Amino acid sequence: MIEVVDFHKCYGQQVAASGISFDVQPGQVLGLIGPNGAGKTTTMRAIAGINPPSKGTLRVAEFDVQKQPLETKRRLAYIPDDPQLFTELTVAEHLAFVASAYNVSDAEKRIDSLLIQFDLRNKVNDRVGDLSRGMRQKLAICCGYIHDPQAILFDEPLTGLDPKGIRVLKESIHQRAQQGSAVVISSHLLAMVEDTVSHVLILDKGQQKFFGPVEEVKANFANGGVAVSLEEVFFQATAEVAAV
Amino acid sequence: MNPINTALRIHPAVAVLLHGQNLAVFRKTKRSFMTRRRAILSTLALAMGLLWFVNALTSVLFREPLGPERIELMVPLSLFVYAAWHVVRSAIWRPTSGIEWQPAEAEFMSLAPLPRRELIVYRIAAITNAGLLKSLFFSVLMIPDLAFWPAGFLGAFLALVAIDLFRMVVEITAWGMSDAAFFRTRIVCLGLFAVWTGYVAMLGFSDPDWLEKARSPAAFELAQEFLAAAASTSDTVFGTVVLAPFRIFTAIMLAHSLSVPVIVYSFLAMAMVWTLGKLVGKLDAYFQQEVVLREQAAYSQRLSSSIPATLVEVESQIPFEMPKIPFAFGGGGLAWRQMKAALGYFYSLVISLTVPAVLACLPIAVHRHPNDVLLNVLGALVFYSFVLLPTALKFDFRRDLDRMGVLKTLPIRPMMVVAGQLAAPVLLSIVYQMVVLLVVYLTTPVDPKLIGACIVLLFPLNVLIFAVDNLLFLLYPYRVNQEGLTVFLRTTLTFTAKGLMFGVALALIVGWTYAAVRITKFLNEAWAAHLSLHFVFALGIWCFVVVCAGFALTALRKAFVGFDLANDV
Repeated sequence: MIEVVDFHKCYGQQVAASGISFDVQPGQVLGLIGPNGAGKTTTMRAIAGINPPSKGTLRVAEFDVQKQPLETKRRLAYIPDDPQLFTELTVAEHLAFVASAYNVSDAEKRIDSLLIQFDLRNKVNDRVGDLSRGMRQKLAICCGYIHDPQAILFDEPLTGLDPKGIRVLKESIHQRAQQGSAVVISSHLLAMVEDTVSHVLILDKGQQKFFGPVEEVKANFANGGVAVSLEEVFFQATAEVAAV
Repeated sequence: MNPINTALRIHPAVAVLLHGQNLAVFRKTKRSFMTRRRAILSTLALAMGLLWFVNALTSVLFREPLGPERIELMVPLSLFVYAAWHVVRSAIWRPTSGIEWQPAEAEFMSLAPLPRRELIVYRIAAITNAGLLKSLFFSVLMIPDLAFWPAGFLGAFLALVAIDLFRMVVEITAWGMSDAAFFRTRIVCLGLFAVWTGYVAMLGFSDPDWLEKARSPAAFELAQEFLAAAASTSDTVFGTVVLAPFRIFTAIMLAHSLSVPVIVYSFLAMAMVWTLGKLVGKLDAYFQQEVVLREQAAYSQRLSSSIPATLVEVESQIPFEMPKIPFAFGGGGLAWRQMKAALGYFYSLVISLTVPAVLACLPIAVHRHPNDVLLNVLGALVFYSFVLLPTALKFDFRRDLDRMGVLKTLPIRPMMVVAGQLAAPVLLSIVYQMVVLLVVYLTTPVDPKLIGACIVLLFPLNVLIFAVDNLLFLLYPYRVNQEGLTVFLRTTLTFTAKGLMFGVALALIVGWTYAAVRITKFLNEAWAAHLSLHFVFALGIWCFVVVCAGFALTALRKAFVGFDLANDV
């Protein structure tokens, strides 16, 4: 569903990502982990078609992100860590715009269901500038879900969400994956996403350190046969234990 | 589907967005009256708007028509200068993106499966929206000169849209071309501009009376002389060629009725607008691809070279030096930060301040008596400081709308936050004024004490000017990079308010002149003192400016403390 082959990205002289390759199949949930500046957001934004790659191929549902951007976008949702929304528009107007852009047929029904699911029903006529950080995050998630995307990219989706919001989001991710979506989640809250992800990609300083199923990664970094947490894996893979 | 329908079709999502944004304008207006403070300020703004409108209406009703010959000359020339300015500006300050998108437009809209063409249509629709109202204003003001108002409105509207589209063409091209091509283009554009300016200057200075004309306040007559010289270049072959497209819009504006030639000209103008719109789309598509291919080629070359391509930082090799920032009761850090930002625009600032500096220095060449020179330079400096500097030096609260939360949480007294925020533009202004005064000192045998007195006077004046501008901003916050009608209306209202303040200040100065004569006489007679009238007058003005600056700073402090992040941002 999502396929990244030898992805490189440089900003001027600085290389943000170098030689990254992975794939996410329908029903899989990939956890993209790594320290700040590892290249997680760069990779996600390239898959979303926002930033073109300096080298490499990115595909979503067999469509090339660079060559067939519209086909890709129709099947994709990207929820950034700091959603940039139109502050003067209302929640309903945002959702109406997205539904129209994706040509969603039963938009009203879907929007209503999403608003109830994410506790935004009573905010539907509020302007986005008046919403809290968490509410804006929920709205961005609703915008991403309207068209039932086949591939979903979450960049730090748990930031700002209340406990109920986190639970609803995690449940919805499981549900979407079971329905056949390929999901990528980038998060620093490793304990929170540990039970959600099926695969893990570890990045550090723009380079790929590990990619594989979560059980495999835990076995790889096991300490004398004792299973380790994702957090322990993160520190070992990025060799930052000594610095902590 | 009919090809014309396809070309003019707007994606339903874009239509939904534009409709939502129009509704948002009404909601925003409604919000302007929600709280007591906002209601008072909005009423004041309305009153100011009404004042401006009545003034404009009066000028429309009572002024003499300019005459078709003058309009035929000035309108195409003004449009050309406006278009040329976009070229020169892009040649000096290369755009960082082809089309300037707001963050929400750049991210939220680009994620949607909308063809790039739809995004361009959205942008052009926004330009057209603003152009409609601007041309409405313009054509109303031009009523005495327009024989057939609808044609005047249509001509102005098409001209404004065409120039905005031309700006987009220029900016996309300047952004998208390679560094080498941009460098060559910059040389050519600036070279042509220099040649034209030099030619106009040559014509202007060929007038034997130019020295006399430079005597007028702020060299207005000389400026008019240069404008006339610039206008005379329209008769040259070069002028005839470059002004030809703009004359089409003028022909529509000056039409007497809906005649066949006017219809033909209108079609020609619309064809020009349509072509420019298509060109924007084509250039955007071309350069979007070109920039990516260039980046990929450069990266590929880099990979094949010996330079390591991976980002492996060797922390110990990265030089690090802690900047030494004065505390200054907490305001030092803020001042340092603003100054650092200002120095990032050093060359732009030098370029934009050079013209007013040269104009302010003109009295040196005109007046013989050193004190006359100084007084005229001082007057010009005050005028330009009042009108231009707050626009050129926005290194204060005005660029910190999104950082107001941070500023409010700092453990610094509000007055020190205000002082720290204003320090950079005030210091830069005084440096600019000191440079001009230094030129006066080096070229004229003026008493250095008087130069010092001027600096002492200008310092609180700068504080006052920037405090007032920041006060208006905190009471009516806006984003610096905003564009369109809102900015147009805001600028109109701000300048009306400033004009009123300037008028009141002038009236007070005149009043003080009479008072200073009596006070000086009284003091000299009562206490047998030998006070000079000039000294008493200057001291009174200085005290007045200092008191006003104090009030403005206090009001600014209060506005900062009362700034409500939930309602004002």
